[in-house]
Amino acid sequence: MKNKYIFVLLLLFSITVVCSVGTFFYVKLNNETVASDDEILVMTSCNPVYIATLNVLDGVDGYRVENLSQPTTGCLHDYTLTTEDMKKLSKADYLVVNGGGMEGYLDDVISAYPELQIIDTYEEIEHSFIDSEPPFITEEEHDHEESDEVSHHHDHGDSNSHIWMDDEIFRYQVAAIAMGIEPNPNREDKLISNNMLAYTKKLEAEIDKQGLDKTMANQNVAILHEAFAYTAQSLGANVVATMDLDEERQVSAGEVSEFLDEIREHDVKIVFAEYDYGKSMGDLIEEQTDAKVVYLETLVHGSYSKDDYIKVMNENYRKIKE
Amino acid sequence: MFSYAFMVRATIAILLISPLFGMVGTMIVQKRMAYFSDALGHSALTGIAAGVIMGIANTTVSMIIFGICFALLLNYISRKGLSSSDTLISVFASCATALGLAILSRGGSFSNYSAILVGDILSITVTEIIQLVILFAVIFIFWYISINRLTAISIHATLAKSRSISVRVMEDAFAVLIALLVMLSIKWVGILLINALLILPAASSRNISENFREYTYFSMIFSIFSGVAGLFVSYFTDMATGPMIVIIASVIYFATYIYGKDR
Repeated sequence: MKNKYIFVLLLLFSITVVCSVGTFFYVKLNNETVASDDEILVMTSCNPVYIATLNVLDGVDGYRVENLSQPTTGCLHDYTLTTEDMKKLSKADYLVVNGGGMEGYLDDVISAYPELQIIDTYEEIEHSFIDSEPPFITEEEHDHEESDEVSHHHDHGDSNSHIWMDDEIFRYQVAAIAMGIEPNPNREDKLISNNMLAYTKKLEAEIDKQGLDKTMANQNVAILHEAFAYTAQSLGANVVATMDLDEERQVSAGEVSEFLDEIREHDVKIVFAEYDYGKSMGDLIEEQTDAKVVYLETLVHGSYSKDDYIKVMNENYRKIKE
Repeated sequence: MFSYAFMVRATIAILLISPLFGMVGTMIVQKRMAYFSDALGHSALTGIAAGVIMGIANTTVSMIIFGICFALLLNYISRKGLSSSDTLISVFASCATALGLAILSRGGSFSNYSAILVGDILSITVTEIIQLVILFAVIFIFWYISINRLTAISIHATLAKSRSISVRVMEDAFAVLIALLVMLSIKWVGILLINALLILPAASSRNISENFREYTYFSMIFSIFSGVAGLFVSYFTDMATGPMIVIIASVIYFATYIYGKDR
């Protein structure tokens, strides 16, 4: 009997030692530099707002921009915060989010860190349009414009929150971030607004739609990811059929046939899709209709570099043009 | 580590949930109800779906109500003896999961609920900890009052009946208790792992225990140890907490299995 208690004690002790040693070496190998106390830590929720914030704070001393640890695959809506994220958020001064329901964990963050200043770009843009409607795509709007559309959206209330995919709205996001970050009293205030102006001008100048905004204006398109509704909007094209595919989406035969019928009925020549979740459906569409499927990037995952947005958007337009 | 409020809350939650899992798990293993608790975990999806359909803002309420009804119904049909209990439970679990998935995936919106599959103990709030404290008190009081009767039923139901123990009432009360525990902790532990946390500490304890007292105490010790160690390791390695707890609990199980086999 005594042996048994010794065994349990030894077992728990051994596990503790193994866990401690393993964790120690793991932490040592993966040690990251952390923001010093005199730096203002600006956390961002996803790649597009990270890129925007990097550009807004480019060369401004005393600020450190970090993105929450991101999954390499999957949809942003499903993301849950890791312990590393929680640690960083507890030290952060700002959290810049895309908003519009994209960050499902936001309410938890707000209740856990009431002091943390949250810059919700979606909300800021919404508030800045006082006399007119913001250029967001909502389900009502879709249903109104395209009454027979086959639509399967993520539930973000009634809005499509992939707003960064329209470069005009992305410029508003850049401005919202710059205005949301309070100037550090010790720094040159104008640096942030100058950066904002420079980056928005750069976006305007360097994003090359290759004439698609003229050739595709009023053309009917179908999309296999709701992010591309904004790509279509930025080109002036009409989205006549939407099927929002992700890793958890299971489509029924009825939905597929309805979607194909919409493509044929509206004489859709081009379908925007994301490769990871839309390839099989894309193959089927190309086999069953005359439409061409173009695989575009959503910018959710990327190289997290400053010029990634311009690079990816231009690459998307180039693929559409081909 | 404890300078972070979320870690303090998560540790308190683990210290509240894990002894309950260890304690209730002993009776689940003893009464061979592992399938039952698994089915209950899966039925959480249907509980959420019912809440969404009825427009209940707090889906925990709909999960609890559905879980209790589901557990009582399962008990009722099992008693009828029309089919073997493992088949019945499997049918109920599959049906409940399919129903929940079908409703929640309507319009492609299942991604909004997928977080419940793995759980997230780090986002637990003070109000939710208070709920766990109440649950902790309820289960402890029930356990203190009913453990002898539950043990008698688990050993020999007919004999227990002859000693004026209301088998049916006790079985239903225990099923309701499991439903409460599973539904209130599933958001933090996740559907995929909740049964592992209920079963593993008790199964490990069973490998080395010689009487019921030892069985319960060892199970609670293993459960608390796995919970706390799993949380700390996940904190430093930035891995999900639930799976880490289950990995440690599994190591304990295999070690006790080898030790128990050689005795």
